Amino acid sequence: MNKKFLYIVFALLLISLGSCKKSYLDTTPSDQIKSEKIFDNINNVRVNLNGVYRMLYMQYSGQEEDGQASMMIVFDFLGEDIVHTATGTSYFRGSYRWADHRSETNALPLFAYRMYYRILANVNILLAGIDTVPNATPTEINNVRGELLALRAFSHFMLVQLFGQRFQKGEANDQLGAPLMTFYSEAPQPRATVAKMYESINEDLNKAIGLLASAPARGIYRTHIDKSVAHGLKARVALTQQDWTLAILHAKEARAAYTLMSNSAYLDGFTDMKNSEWMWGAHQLTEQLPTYGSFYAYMSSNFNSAHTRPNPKLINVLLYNSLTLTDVRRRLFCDDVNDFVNFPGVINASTGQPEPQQVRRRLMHKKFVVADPAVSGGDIPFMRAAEMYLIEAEALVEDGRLQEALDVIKVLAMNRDTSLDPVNIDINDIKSYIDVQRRIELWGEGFRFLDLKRKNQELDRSGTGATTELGQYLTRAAGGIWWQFKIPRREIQANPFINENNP
Amino acid sequence: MKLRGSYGEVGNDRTGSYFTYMNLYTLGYDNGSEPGMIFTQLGNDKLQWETNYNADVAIEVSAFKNRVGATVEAFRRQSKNLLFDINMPITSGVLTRDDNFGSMRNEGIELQLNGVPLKTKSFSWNIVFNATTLRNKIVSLPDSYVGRQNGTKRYNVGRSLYDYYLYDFVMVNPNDGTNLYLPVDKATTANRVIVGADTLTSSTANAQYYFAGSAIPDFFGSINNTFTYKNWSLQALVIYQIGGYTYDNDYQSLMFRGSTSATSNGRAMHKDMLTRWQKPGDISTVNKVDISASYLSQSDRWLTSSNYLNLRTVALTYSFPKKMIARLKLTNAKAYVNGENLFITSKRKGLDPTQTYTGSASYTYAPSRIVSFGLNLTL
Repeated sequence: MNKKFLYIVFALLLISLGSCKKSYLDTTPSDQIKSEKIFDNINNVRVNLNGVYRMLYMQYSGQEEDGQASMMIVFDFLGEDIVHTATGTSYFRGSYRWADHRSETNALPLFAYRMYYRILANVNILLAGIDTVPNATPTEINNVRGELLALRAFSHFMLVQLFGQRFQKGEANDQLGAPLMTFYSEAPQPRATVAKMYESINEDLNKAIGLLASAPARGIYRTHIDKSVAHGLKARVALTQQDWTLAILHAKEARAAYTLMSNSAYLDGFTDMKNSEWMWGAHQLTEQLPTYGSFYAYMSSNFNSAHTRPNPKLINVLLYNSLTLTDVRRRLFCDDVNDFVNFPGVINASTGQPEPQQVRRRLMHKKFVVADPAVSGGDIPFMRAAEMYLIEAEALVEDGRLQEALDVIKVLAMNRDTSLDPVNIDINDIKSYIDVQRRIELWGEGFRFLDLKRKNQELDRSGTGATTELGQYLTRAAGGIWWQFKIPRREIQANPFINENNP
Repeated sequence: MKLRGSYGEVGNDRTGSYFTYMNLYTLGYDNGSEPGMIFTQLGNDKLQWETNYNADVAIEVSAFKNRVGATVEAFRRQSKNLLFDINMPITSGVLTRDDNFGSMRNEGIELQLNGVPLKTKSFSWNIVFNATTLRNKIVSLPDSYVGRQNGTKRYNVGRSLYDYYLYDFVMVNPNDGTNLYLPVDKATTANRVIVGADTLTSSTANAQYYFAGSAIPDFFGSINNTFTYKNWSLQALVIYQIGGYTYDNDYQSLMFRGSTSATSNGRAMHKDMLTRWQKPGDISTVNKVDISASYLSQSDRWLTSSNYLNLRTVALTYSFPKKMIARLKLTNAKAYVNGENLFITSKRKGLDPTQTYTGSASYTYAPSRIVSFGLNLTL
């Protein structure tokens, strides 16, 4: 009896001593989700969809890599309408100097390529499995599918504009763009032609517009793509393809439900998407800010960073001078460096007073103002209704319908300058009038490089206040190799289909 | 005489995770206040163990009552299915994933000789000599790694992981003090400079890479001498290496005055800078002083022979006589003087080739010379 008891005790001891650490027995990690779980219900799909939107403003592997927000800075710094004051920090300096995008080993081409393909990978996996989701209504599935297709089109649209030569209407456009990912694959893919990519972009957007027709209205935070945004993307694409009719049609559809903001709202700092004309943006919470970086650490006028303090961003003086004196947008730029009331500049968060170390220059901006100068977070604009007026007006001019163009642009212009008499808009000069309206309206929102490339215009920084010392180049001829991003070497090494880089 | 051998296979699953075969998503990527997650791991369900096959054969002989002995040992360690983070096409949505990398082989021969040249009742001299030669070879590689430059080396099947692949620096241009390299193509290369009968290039963009030597020495080893006389014993260990090159990053950074930026303007320089090119006609192997770091371009100019001889340790020990110990009620008592790193000879003063496996010395500290005295008592 006693012996038996001992045997049992020993046996139990042996078993307990010999057992594995408990975590060895787990068949799934505790901090991550198995891919099969994604399609368990529609909510999981939506959680992944939200992650895709986060990819538009999260930080990748460096301080210059805050998602689409960083690309917006790159596009404007490559242009002529933002003028740098000083050498400042190294961040984005290589873009201002037209260096980063032309080096296959630079972080910028890799970051851009990686971000858009990461979005595409997530989107394509979801699209492949979304029909298998149990207990979801067709409407629920279609709404998500509509957003996914629009995001796929958006990513391909960015990729083709960066890595391909520009689309030319009426041509074959068989120049190479970037790999076209309409399905998920871990295998390397060849580059598709620019024509093929636009074909897919349009197909996705057309479907998205149809699918999103039944989507419920968004809340106050317009971070998701809805039907109006899909129309807006379609209008952008049509403008880039010089398809004026489509651009007019979709721009009009896109802005239908929005009203232009008031002049007082225009001076509110552009960091709150509850504004009446914001169509799409990122809602960046304080806890989602990277330790260093974020859009407003570079682009706000009041957050105190090593980027904003010594190097306030100025407006191109030629663009500034072409504005009427009563235009509200003129008031975003400092005319008098001693005007601390209207232009306090960079704020020292501990005193709440203007930072004494800040550099002050005439024409420095206060377009982007963060709500709390101690925190570099705020909403980041991806699309506003004003852009839709500009697309429509530009397309009308290109289509030869000058009076209609004037009628559209004057709505925007008279909102921004309430004392403007439209008689003073010269119809013979309407094309450059719209161009100025576009540049001032979208200043700092990441359009200029793409606009110059799309219109096949040269970059001309002469007389803008820019110097070769800071910007390296004052001019870059239209077209040519300088307008294409290099494919990152990292991709060429792992992709046997891409043997040759862009010249 | 003795013949011995061994063979073993060892597996390795060190990937840092038990879940490398799964596709995984990570939570916490919220969109504003809406919960979000993203695809973060591409699984590999074909992942295998990394296996190391170790084999060695040795012959040991001894003669004259073990007064003379020798061991010759041949060893080979073949690694297959090495576990690595492989670069994926970026279109896959991830940068890397765990995969079996390829295979690599290390093999070599080790020779050890030991002898007791002198032995009397109160005196003995014991000597052990050791030499090893080693070869490393990449047997196979995934396509995406073939020919990839990795710092100063390059991955090539059939070559060693430790072969330098560098520009061929030839000389400093006597006319303007810039560096001249062997060009890729003597006829069409841009930035051509004709020196005598040779065509060179002043731009690394046109310079030719070549396999410039290996970080692995021809052979290396040690010599250990032990002398004992009555209660005294003296032991001296010398280690050495013959062949192989060090890429001397430290020297490279000392051959630069710094740029004009506030943080790097003006730096300490190596005394070789005194022999630099200064005026047209100067023949030198050191370029002119310049603020541009481009003169420091990675080339075989920075390779330095790794030959060295290092007196690693010398130890003199006195063991107190047994009688005395017994009287003091101790079991053991010793007094000693130890010296470590008493000297090293290397091609360049200050260079310590013993500190790196990959051959790239960088921010190394010279090992300190230590002399210690001690008394060891055991109760």
